[in-house]
Parts: sequence; C-alpha cells; structure tokens
Amino acid sequence: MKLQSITTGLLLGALSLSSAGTITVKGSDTMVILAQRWAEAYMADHTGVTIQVTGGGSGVGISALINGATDICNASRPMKASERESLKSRYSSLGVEIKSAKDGLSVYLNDQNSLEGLTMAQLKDIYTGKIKNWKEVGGSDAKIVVYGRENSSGTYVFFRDNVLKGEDYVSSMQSLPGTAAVVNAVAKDPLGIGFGGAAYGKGIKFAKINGIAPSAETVKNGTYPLTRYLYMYLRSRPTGEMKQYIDWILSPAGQEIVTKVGYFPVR
Amino acid sequence: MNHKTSLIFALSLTLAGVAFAQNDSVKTAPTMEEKVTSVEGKVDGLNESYLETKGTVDKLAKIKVGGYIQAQWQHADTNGGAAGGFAGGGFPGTSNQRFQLRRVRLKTTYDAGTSQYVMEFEARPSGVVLKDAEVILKESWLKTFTLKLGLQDRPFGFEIPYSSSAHEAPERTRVFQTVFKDEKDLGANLEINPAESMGFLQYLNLKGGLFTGTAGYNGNSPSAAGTGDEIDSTMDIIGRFGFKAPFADLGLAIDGGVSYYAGKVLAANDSLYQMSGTVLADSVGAFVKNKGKTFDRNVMGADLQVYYTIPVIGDILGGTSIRGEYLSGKTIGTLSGSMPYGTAGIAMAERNFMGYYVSWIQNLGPMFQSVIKYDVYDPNTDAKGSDVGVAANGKLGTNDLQYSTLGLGLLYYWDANVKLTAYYDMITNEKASTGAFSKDLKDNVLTLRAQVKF
Repeated sequence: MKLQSITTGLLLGALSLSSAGTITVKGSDTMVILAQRWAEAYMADHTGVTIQVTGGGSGVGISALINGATDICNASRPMKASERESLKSRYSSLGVEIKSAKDGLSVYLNDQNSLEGLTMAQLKDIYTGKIKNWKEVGGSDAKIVVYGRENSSGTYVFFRDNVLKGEDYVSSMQSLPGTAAVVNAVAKDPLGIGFGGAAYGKGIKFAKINGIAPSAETVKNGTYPLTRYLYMYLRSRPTGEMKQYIDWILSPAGQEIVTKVGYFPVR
Repeated sequence: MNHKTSLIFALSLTLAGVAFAQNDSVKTAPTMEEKVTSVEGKVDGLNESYLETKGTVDKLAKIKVGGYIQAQWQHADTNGGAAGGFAGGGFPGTSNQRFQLRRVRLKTTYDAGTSQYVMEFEARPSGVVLKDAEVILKESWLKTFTLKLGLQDRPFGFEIPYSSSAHEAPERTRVFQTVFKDEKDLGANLEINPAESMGFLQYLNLKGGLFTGTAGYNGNSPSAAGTGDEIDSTMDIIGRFGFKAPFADLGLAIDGGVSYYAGKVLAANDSLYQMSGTVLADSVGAFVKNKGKTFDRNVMGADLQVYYTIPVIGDILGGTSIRGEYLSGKTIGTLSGSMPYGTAGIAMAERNFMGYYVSWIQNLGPMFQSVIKYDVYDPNTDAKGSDVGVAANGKLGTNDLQYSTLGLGLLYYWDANVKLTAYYDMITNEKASTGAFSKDLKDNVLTLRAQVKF
C-alpha cells in the first residue's frame, strides 16, 4: 500500500512536470523569426500558454534538448547520429522529428555583382578555397570575400554536407553570428558571397544554382539544388498543450505564417 | 585697478571665450556623411578587433575541459559492507556506513579535427591516478576510421565504454568489475563507424585492437603495482562487432553486438590450480612446472539494448530501455579471486566463469528515472555451492560461489549538471556447505549519491 502510494505520487509528479503551461523553444537562428511569429500568433489565441523562443544555433538547441533545458529544439539540419545517441542514453528515446517548413538555402551576392548564378561545383570550389577570384567563375577580376556561419549553426553543417561534400571551409571565411549578419555583410561588400535562409534575403540578390533560382515552385518541387527542411525536435511524442501547439504549426494557420516569413510550407 | 573692475574684466573675458567657443563649434560641426564615416571606421575597427579575438577564441575552443564528482553516503547491513566491495569498494571492517568520494575526474581534450588528445585523471584521497591517455587519429576522407593509441576503454561489450557518469546504477555489474577490472588497458584500437552517407553500412560498427592485457592488474590503471608494461611478449586481442537499428517512426531502437577477448597470461609461479571434477587441484602435484609459461584467458560476450517509447504511457512518462549482456569464458586469477592475475609471483587459478545482467530503465517525466537491475556472476561454473567447504575439494573457496544482485534505484536530474541517485543493492550468495557462507550474508547496501558533471 505504501509502495503504491509512493509510485502514484511519483507518476503524478512526473505528469505535472511534463504538462506545465510554459513551452520553451530553442535552436536554429535561421528559424528564430519564424518561431517567434508562431509563438506570438499562438499565444494571442491561447492566453493561458507561454511560449519562450530563443536562438543560438541548431547545435546549441539540440544540446539544450539533450540537457533538458528546452522542450522543443528548432534545427535547420537533421539531428546527427551522435546527438541521437546522447538523447537515447539519457532519455531512452530517439527523439521525435517534425518537418515544420521548407527552405531554399540561398547563396547571396552583392547587387553590384554582374554574376547571376553559379554551379554547385563552382560554389564548392569557392568555399573550399580552390577558386579565389571572381574572374574564374565569369565575373570581374577581383578577390572573392567569403562569408559564412559559425559551426554551431545548422546552416553551416547543411552547407558543408551538401555543397562541400564534407570538406572543410576555406580558412579565410569570415564566420558571422547569424544569417542576418551574413546578409548585411554581403550587402555592404561588392566582392562578397554568403549563404543562408531564403527569408533573410533582403538588400542582396540570390544566385541561381545550376541555373535555377530559389522560388516557391522550385523549392516545393525540389528542383532547386539546396532545398532543405526546417525541423523541430522533441524528446518524445508531444502530448497536451505541446501537441496542440505542434498541430497548430502544421495546420493551415501555422503554415500561412511560414509563407509570410519567407519560407515554404510543408503541406 | 580695484577689485570690482578686475572682476568685471575677468567676467567679460570668460563670456567672450564662451561665445567664441560656441561660434567655433558651429563652424566645425561634422556633417552627416562625416558622422557615418566615423561610425563606419569604428565599426570596421570593432570588426577587426572581433576577427582577431575570434582567432584566439577559435583556438581555445579546441580545448575542452570536463569532469565530474560523485559524492555519496552508503549504509551496509553489517560492518565491513558487502563481500568483495563491489558497491564502491570495501567498507572499513568496523563500520557499516560511510561518506565517500566515489569518483573525482578531470578530463581534457584537444580537438584538432583529424586528431585528438585526451587525458583524464582521477583524484582520490590516496593520490592521483591516470584513467585515460589517448592519441586519437581520424581520417578525413571517408570519415569512418579512427585509430586510438594509449590507455583507453577495452573495446568489449556495452558496460565498459558506457561512461561511469552516465550509468544509472552506481556501479558496473560484479562480473565486469572482476573480469575487466578498471575497464582500461594500454594498446591500439581501430574503430570503424561508417559515415551516415554510406547507406546500410552506417548501422554497423566494428572496433578492435591489440592490448598489453596488464594495465588494470593489481591496482588501478596503471598503478605502482601494475604499471601496464607488457610482460609476456604477446598481445591480447579485444574486439566488438556491433549494430544499431533505429526505427524512429516506431519510437524504437535496437542496438547490440558480440565481443571477444583472446589473451595470454604469464605464470609467475609453478603452481596452477585447475578444476578436476569437483576439486580445484594444483598441477605441481603432477610435477608440472608452470613458471614462465603463458596460459589462455578467453572471454566471449553478447549485448543487446532496446529503447522504446511505449505508446500513450511513454508519451507522458518518457522512454524505456531494457539492456542485457552475457559473457562467459576462462579467467586466470588466484585462489583468492578471479581478478586478473598480476605479477606478484603467487599461484594461478584457472576457472570457467559466466555472468549476465538485465536492466530496465524507465523515464518518469523529464527529470526522474527508475532503474531495476538484476545481475548474476558465477566465477566458477564447474563448482557448485555445496562443493565449497568440503575438505576433499581442495582449494575451492568462497571465491568460487555464485552471486546475484537485485538493484532498485530512483534518479533525479536536478538540472543539466546534477544527478541525484538513491539505489539499493540486494545481494544473494550461493550457499556453501559449511561456514558463514552456508546462509545468505547480510550484505545489502544503500547508496545515496550526488553527481555534478560539467
């Protein structure tokens, strides 16, 4: 009887802890504006719920998920096998992956750059340091200034895995803390090149990749070579308020915000 | 000039000065363009400073320092605690409770991408012990092969490489504490973990290498009594072939592997005790001189880990894992136990052994975990309990009895760094025919532990 009481108490305690009214969201800087818009819109209709959104990068968000410091992790890349192992070790769970939006990872050029596009091979060579001058890819005779993201960023990892095919970035790349900073740097630098989410592309122009520009159509049908999903990760299948929030994100109302922010809906 | 005139003159000069200054400031006020240029210069300066700082920070980021402290209070049923001291070392013979610093570790890693330096120390009241010292080389083409050189975990089974800080039960099971004392050995180990881009191969892994087979002997790795030096001119082979089968859509993952240890042990004494029927007999009686000869030490193992989020219940409580491991083989120890044989020059004892464990870990929300673990270790499968204590059976002793342990525990993760554990070990020994071991000893142990990890 005593054992039963203790067990019941523990279970109730655990349940109350997992169904608290505050949902914390942390991770991808690429997704931080999108996540804030979602949270604002959801909280406006659900006054009893508080959703706290912070960035820091996909890697930081995944670490927070593993450490129990956040309920939801936003990531602009899939979780690595080693990260799944950590989650498995601590929570006996592989985690739950939710594809919440699509993004065409864009390559930014300064407006004054005469180039309209690059091939994937040229892009790889620029970011690995094999091509150093714009004239090697049909541009003016000037040094290429390479901008990128920090290594805690999911965008950094996605670009390295899918464009550089796992090779290392050129050491002269200037790593900036956030896609907005990359856009700003390229906008100010006529010789600059950078990459990041489509939603951040203001004041610069998007390079065509293999002749295809990132657009709703090319991202949706997958013809744009740098199409990727934007993910949300949870430790286990969502329940209660968390489930309602995730369901709302995937509903037409949540996906409409995806479009407004500049990304592409998954449904 | 009187004072009044002087004051008026000075005041006039001051006012005139202020007026000129104001006029001058109007003339030299910077234009908006100049201000923007100035701010741009400052921003460029800050950017330059940031890039310089970033270079330094990037270098420092390659150095990782981590560690943990496990402080605990334990209560045993009787003074001296559990037989063999498998719940964190033996209690003093005059006490049944104690405070203890079970582990105090500091680990430094320098990660240069394709190479890593790893060094880990354990600080104890008795001194500082080296736990890990590894040179790790990673190839950058396939991102699949890793070579580890130095003092490291033996690549065998699941419990050995599973960090002491991550274990849900306070200690590894009795069979591992005996057969693979201190988990570490000195050697070279090749690990093959196919990259995620390699399709089906990514679910398989292989690790194995050559080791001295002596690093954990007669103390801690490598202690003054067991320096870890090679002494028998033969290397021990240790390896594990494993698999990982994730079924993310089902909330299920199944991992496992088979392991093998093939080693040699150099005899430092002519006597070798071996089982003959129900007798642990000395070969010297048959005029065999063993000193200087090497003898086989073989262990086979299989391990399985199942992780599952039970529908509905698991969605609320969290994941469940069930882990099990079985190993058997032949140990070369001494009459006083099956710990690995050392260099002290005493008689050897060869025994066939068997051991296994099954554990069930259930998350209870994000912060609590419950654990139930049952393990069995039979250090001499050729001897029954009733054979022990019989005068005719030669040197058979209490070290040939089988033990089983049922452990129940509750864990609380205070935050990302702190883990609190309450764990109760219920230990049952096989009954000998006579003496204190003819009944179950009073040797259960309660452990209350706080771990801080960074």
